[in-house]
Amino acid sequence: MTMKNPDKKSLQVDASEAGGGLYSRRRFVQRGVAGAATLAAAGSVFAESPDSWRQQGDAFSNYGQPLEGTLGSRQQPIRWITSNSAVTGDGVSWTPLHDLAGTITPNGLHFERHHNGVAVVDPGSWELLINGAVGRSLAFNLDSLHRLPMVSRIAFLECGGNSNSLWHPNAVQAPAGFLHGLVSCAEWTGVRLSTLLDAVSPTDDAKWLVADGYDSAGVTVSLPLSELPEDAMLALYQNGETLRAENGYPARLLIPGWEGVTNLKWLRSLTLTDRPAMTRYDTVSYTDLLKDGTVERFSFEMGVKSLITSPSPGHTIPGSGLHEISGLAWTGAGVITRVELSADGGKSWADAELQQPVLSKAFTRFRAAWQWDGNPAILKSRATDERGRVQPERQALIEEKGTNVYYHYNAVLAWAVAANGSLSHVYA
Amino acid sequence: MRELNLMKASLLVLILASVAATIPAMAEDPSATISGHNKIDPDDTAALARVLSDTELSALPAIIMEDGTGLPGGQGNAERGEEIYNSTCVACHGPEGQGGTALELVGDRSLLATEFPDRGIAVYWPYAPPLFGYIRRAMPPDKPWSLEVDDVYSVIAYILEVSELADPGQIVDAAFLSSLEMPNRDGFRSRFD
Repeated sequence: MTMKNPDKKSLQVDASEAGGGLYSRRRFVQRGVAGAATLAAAGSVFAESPDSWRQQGDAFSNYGQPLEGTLGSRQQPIRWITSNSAVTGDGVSWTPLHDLAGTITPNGLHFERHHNGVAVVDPGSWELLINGAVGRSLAFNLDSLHRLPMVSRIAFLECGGNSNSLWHPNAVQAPAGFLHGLVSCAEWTGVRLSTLLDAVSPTDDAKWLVADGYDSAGVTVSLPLSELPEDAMLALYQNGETLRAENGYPARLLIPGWEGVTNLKWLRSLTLTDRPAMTRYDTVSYTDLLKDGTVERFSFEMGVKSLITSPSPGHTIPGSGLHEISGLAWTGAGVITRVELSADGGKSWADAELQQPVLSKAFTRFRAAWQWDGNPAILKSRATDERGRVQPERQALIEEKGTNVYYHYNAVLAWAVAANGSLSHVYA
Repeated sequence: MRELNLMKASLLVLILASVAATIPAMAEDPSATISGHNKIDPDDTAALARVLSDTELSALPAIIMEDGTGLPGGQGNAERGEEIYNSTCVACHGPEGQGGTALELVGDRSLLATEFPDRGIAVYWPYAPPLFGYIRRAMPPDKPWSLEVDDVYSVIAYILEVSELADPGQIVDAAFLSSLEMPNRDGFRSRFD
């Protein structure tokens, strides 16, 4: 498997004979060196010295800003906001996965899900209360937290409702990030939750953690201590800088691999209890309505999932010939072990190369070279994780769970490439 | 240049000094390795925090549990609740809780396995007491935490009445909500049951 050979030089997928123009080793060997199209000399940008050689550059800046204007033929990446017409703070902003590269989401583009806007919290008076079934109830202020040993780790964060339009019978058309971008990946730094919980001396009755925030939407969640991962933390930093307001400043829970709502923002209190509180967010929302009419609670772990980010709907492939197919895979179970690609709608598959290092509960970037012949094609990606779970086809997911689940949609996605190079989202 | 070179030289000395100070010690005695979060003494962590007194703890808004633990004193009725509902809630939740820009509060209870199931409180709230905690904290969205305790009980009384979960005239308080058996409780399940 490519993952075990990070030094392998070639871009190609494995030696199987996947169709649709995906690179295979056989193809690579058979092909000779073809001549590149020669650029016309007249009008070349190299004919004259550039303006930037004749003037001093722009000034330093205290805090660097994204480029302005258009980026050649590329889109300026922005979050796309969709929210409730009556309560504008109840909604989401999507990470533009289709316009980003690599695995780390810039802080200004990390997805948002707020139920009643971004809470404004005064850091000077902020405290985190830990109480309930404890030997001593403690309140930590921000300065005290900064004195505690911290850890850093890269982790994806995905809203349980990401991709939920795909439960509908018709394939919705939108750029990939605006259907699937309620997931982002960042390096988080903070204090291990276990460090804080140890300090309050939980009693034998302490089985659950009820987390409450400073937000005005009453987002309160019950989390079982028996399943809480050891790497759960109270995050204070995101990609090296202080948490942004929309990501929970001054402190949020970060539970790698668990659905977004459990990663409570603007944290105010952690109450240890002997059972779940069955809050609104334990029952009405973030529960999975199955096809037999029962509702499954506490489905914390996110499934194995992948999508091709480039090319993807909203992009136009400029012409036949060589293109890189690239995308992201992730799983709440830990490590992505394999991503397969198909360029013929799933008739044949080949392994994509996984960008190293592959980190547990983080975005894994996958890549493959593709020689597009200009004919209609259907691109798919299919991820497998360390637990051996394989991303299901949409039909299989629906047959198992029905169409009312609303949360945890992780089926294989398909992009149809038209002869003119445009892409659309299809069920295939 | 001279300053730069001096800086470089002193930096190098600093690096060498720190290497000399730490590496041999770690090599000789692995147990002396610095850090290790699991080795932090909980008392040392606690010493950085403020210990809350019982008085302060008792003044905190309680987490309201599924059995009604934490519900405050006070009471309400549907008559008063209807007034509040029609002035404060109806714009989003629709007349008599039929839904609008916000979720319906009253809906068909038999449709959970259909294509577009209703999400009224009778089917989606397996326990009644958390209604209080949520409405008090989050409703209405433009003025959260604005309803008085009795008003929250009254709104709940009205919603329960139109949902046919409480008789007209029922006084709704902590005891009533705690004893109310919501009809779809068994429709919810988890591996923790």
